[in-house]
Amino acid sequence: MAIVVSRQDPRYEALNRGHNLRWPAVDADAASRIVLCQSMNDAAEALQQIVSAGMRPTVRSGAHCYEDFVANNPNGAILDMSLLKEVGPGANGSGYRIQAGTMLWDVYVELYKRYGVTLPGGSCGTVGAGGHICGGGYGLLSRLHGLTCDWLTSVDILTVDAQGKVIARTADATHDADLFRACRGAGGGNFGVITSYNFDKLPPAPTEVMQAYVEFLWKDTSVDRFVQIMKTYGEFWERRGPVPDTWGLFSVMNLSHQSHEGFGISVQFCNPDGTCRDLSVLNEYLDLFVPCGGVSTQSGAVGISSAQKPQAPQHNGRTPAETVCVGQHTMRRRTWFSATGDDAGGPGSSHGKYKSVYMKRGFSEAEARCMYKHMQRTIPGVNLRGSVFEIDSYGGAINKKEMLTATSASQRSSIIKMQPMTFWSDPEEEAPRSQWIREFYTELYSGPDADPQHPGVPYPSDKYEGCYINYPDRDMLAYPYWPQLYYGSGDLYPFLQKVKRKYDPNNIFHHAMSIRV
Amino acid sequence: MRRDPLTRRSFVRMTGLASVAAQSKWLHAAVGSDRWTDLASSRRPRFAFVGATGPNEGVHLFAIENERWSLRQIVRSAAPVSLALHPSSRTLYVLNEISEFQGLPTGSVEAYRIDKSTRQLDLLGRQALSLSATMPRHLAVSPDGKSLAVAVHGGGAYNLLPILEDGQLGRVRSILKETGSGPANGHQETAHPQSIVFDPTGSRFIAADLGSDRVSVLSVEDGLGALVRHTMPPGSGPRNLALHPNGQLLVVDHALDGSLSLLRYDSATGTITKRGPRFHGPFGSALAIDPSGDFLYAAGPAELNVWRIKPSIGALTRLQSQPMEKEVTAIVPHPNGSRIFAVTSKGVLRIKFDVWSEKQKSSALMAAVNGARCLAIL
Repeated sequence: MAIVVSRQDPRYEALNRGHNLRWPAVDADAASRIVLCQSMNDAAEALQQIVSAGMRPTVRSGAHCYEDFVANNPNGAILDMSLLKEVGPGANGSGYRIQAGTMLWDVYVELYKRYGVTLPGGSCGTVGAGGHICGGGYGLLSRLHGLTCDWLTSVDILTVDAQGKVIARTADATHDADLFRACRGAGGGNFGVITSYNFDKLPPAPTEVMQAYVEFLWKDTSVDRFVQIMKTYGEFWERRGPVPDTWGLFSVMNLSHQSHEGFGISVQFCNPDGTCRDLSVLNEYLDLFVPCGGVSTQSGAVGISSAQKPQAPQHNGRTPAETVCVGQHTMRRRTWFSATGDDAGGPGSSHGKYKSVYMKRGFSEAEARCMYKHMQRTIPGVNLRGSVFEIDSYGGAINKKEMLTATSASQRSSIIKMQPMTFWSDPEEEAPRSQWIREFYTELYSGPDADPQHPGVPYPSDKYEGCYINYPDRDMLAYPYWPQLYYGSGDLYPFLQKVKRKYDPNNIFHHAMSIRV
Repeated sequence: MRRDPLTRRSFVRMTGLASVAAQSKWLHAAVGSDRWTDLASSRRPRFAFVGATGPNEGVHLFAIENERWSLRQIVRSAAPVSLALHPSSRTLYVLNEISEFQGLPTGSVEAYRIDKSTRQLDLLGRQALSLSATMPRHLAVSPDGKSLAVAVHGGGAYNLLPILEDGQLGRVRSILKETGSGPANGHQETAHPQSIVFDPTGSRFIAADLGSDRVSVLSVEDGLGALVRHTMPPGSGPRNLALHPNGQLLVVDHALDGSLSLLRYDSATGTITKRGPRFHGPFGSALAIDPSGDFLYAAGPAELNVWRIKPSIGALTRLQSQPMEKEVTAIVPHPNGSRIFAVTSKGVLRIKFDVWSEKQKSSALMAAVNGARCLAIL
């Protein structure tokens, strides 16, 4: 039986908000109850009760939504799936079933220990499978193995028909195939409540990985050198990224505001066979940054998703790492499992504003100069510490074009995915920080590389490929063409609208950026 | 006033059930006694607010002097579809029939302060409806003036907003999301709440849902909650409601099959029961009951009907049916009776009736406003 946490419950205060403490922004936005499902039947029954009562359900698993899509639900009900966290064989005894509430770290542990396989998902381990996979989740192994949604075979999902009746479906390539495609990348909170993800096959987990970190100090970085770093970074992924021998290489530049001492590039590498026998690609990559003043150090972690202020879960006690010097570079050799654990992330404790962009090509000089300007910018009375652009390598196996029509993740030509972020703890900082990041972003995409018809945003073009729905940004609602930023300018969005009308005719599942009917 | 005795006899025969007292009252009004004239004078409307879409989009204020309407102000307003005055007459609420507000999928409501002497409108504020409350259709203010209820066609929901001391609207206080559908393809795929009328207690309102063929009674006391679901004939598409001043006779018109239904409403319990036969029109465009409770006005796509009401037994007798050049989208009875203001896409018509002759006495275009949708008089 589902657990109902109402406003009087001592757990309410902790559970009515997620990792991003910005939401609910005011008490009037808060849900009246959180319904914790303990079984699949609970989920169906609770959803039916919520709908029959004329309330709005919002759905969450890991509670990592960047925007207010879940927590802003005035007097509604949050359907919490986080207690549904089994990972096991599929319905017919083969394959793998991951319940929607499972946190990614638990997904990795279960899949690794039981089966030796993994999901090419994100590095923040407390993110829930529910929103991650249906939004086209990616991670350090995605260049090697594609997006999480690329591996899906079916989803178990609860929808609500026109009469308000809850319907349990298993959508796959032959049953409700349109809904299945929509659940492969269009994002959460659109069509129903996904209770499980099913996979016939998953890729083997790598045996080992190499981790490296290249550090740059702001005091040594002139604007010209900065331009050189950015162009070097982008050119590598543009030129070498599509070649399969690099697909086991994943890199994140953590471009921090100058209120931090410096910034750096984290790298995780394995060969396509999941070993580290041949490090030539890694060395080739690290060599590029030596002339730019980059120093390979052990101090930095891979640090993906510092966005969520990760704290490594201590599942393994001290994680074994062997320091390796290859050529002039210092790096760490680790088992893939311990490396992944260190990056898994902990509960959120801050307020955050996020944006995103997909890039089909590397950085131009104009872009690099704009980024330098804003990263060097100071605003009197405003502390911009905790402001960072995470610049992820992308592409590789993700860019298999056959996935364009099989999934709803439309960005299949990009080589970089960037996530501008800023974090604070005092609510008063929200306005100036939001303004800083908005001005930065708007200027960056109003330059010579931007589509002149769509200034201020990375509208799909030869250079850009829009934004990522799992890094949603309500600022984009100011543009009438915001759906094209997230779903492309082709026929995907009209397709998703059709699926929406068919499977959620009442628009029961909605939020600020859900598919519009 | 000269009356044709034959016509009068036929009228009495038609009504059949009209009490002597009611006839007497009606006669009294018809001959225009001094007392009535005095009363009429005190209730004569002085101002009219007309909501219009299209090139004239906005709310148009007219002053009424000697039965002439003169335009005094136009305020820009997005797709005003429904107007409601606060009981204090100090505020006008305007519902915006839009699908997006501030980038979000929702409609909005505006509150305007009404100047005491000129009645000019001054925007107090614009409040978003709940997320997904797109294309709202109708609003109503509670009798105590403390709440405003909205029927949301597009999003299939009801919203309740608090009215603050100064007339401004607070954030949406309560939401009721509806589900349900009907057999009429293209019209009834989902719930489409259309109209709202508060009952005399003010603690509930009655609502018509075109999409789900339902008339519901909703409580407003502790957030919106459905008290009663009264199912109407499948595919009929209930649209407009009119509650008789006695609080017991509820008239519903149906946009999809053009019929008219009579229901019994119990204000003490908030329950609805079926009452009387259904009348077949075409009706379903606009509906109103005269403040006296004696007449019902019902418009269909191309005609306007006047009915005599015998509320105690729920009897209706059609007195007149006349073709209309344009569909009437709203009817506001004159407070003094015997005439109505009818809104069409060409503007506001004043239509006077002489039920003795069973004919329209006169029709005049008081306000030429292309795209007119709704009207409130003060």
